[in-house]
Amino acid sequence: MAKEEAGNGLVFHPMDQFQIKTLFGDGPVHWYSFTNVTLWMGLTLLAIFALLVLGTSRRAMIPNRIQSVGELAYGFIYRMIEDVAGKDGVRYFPHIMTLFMFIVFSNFLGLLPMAFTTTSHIAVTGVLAMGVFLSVTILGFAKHGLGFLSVFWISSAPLPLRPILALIEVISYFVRPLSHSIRLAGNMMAGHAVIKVFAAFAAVLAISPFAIVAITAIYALEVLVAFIQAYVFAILTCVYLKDALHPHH
Amino acid sequence: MYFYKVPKFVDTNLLAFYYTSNCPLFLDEVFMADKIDPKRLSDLNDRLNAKKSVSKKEAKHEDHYSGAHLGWRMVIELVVGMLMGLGIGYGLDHLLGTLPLFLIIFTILGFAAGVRTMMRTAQEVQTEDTVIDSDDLSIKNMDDSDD
Repeated sequence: MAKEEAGNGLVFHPMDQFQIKTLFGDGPVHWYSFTNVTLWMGLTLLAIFALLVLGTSRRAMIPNRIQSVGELAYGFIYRMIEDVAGKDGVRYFPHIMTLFMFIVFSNFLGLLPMAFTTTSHIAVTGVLAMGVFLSVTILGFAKHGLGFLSVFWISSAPLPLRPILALIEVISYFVRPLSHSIRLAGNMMAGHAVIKVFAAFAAVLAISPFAIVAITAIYALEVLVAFIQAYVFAILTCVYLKDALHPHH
Repeated sequence: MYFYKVPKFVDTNLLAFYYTSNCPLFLDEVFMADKIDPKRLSDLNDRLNAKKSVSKKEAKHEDHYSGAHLGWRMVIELVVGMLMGLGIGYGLDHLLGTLPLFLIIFTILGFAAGVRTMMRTAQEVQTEDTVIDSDDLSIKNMDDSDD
């Protein structure tokens, strides 16, 4: 937020926008304090509620604009699950739809000027990815029992190699939730920080036209990234779900 | 019942297709209308299926997100795999007091795991491509085989 010029030197504060602050009163952030994260997560939920519940409350045969957008989002996720995870993956539609709507709305709300991007924090995306990881793993064990462990036991490899390969497979299984969360948070944080850096350059008269054009261009890119990252998060959840439902390939 | 509410200038078949292609929930409502004769219904069904298969093929093509994102995904997987191996190795060494041993072993294993994840991502994309183009590149089709 703070963009100031001290003497001749430029002052960059690209990471200030990610600070978590209490909104009412100051002092340290407790688990119960109402922070900017709380505010923007609440706004995200309100926006989703407005689109999916209020927007479709009339259930008109001919939908108005908001209802068509809600139905489009529904159909988009539904078809994606059907394509990637198959017909029996559709049962887990609510989980994936919830994830997608939450991420896409917090990404887009974060693009508003002065807004706080909740998905730029690894704590948020980590919890989302952890939820996916745990639910998919538990689902795999519930569906296949201990046979789910055969994902890690590559029967096509020669016997002496199998324990080592199993170790590698286990590590690569744990890589997935980590890369899942880092990708989303990293993309959001990087884009917003780059915008701030260019904004600091805009204070210099000679390069300010270039900086403003660059901000516009990066903002357009960020709009794209905001959707694509939510989409990638959802589609990878579908892929993991497919692996849990059909582990024997 | 629903069909009486629709204005005359709206093609009801087109409307039905709109709902079935975007939103499967409404399929029931469209076909629950009991004022349609069965011949027309089956005719509509055939046409819907024809249109559906076309739109499904198109939807598969849309699934590609740009190459840059695929690249980032792979790079992150590779790096995260190695870092995880490093962390596990260092943790084990810290517990057992054998500093360089497990660090080296698990870094290598983590790197292998990163490569494995990356290769799986590549394979996924390749399989998707071959399903779409139906090329006979003899790459094993991993999904859709068991249902």
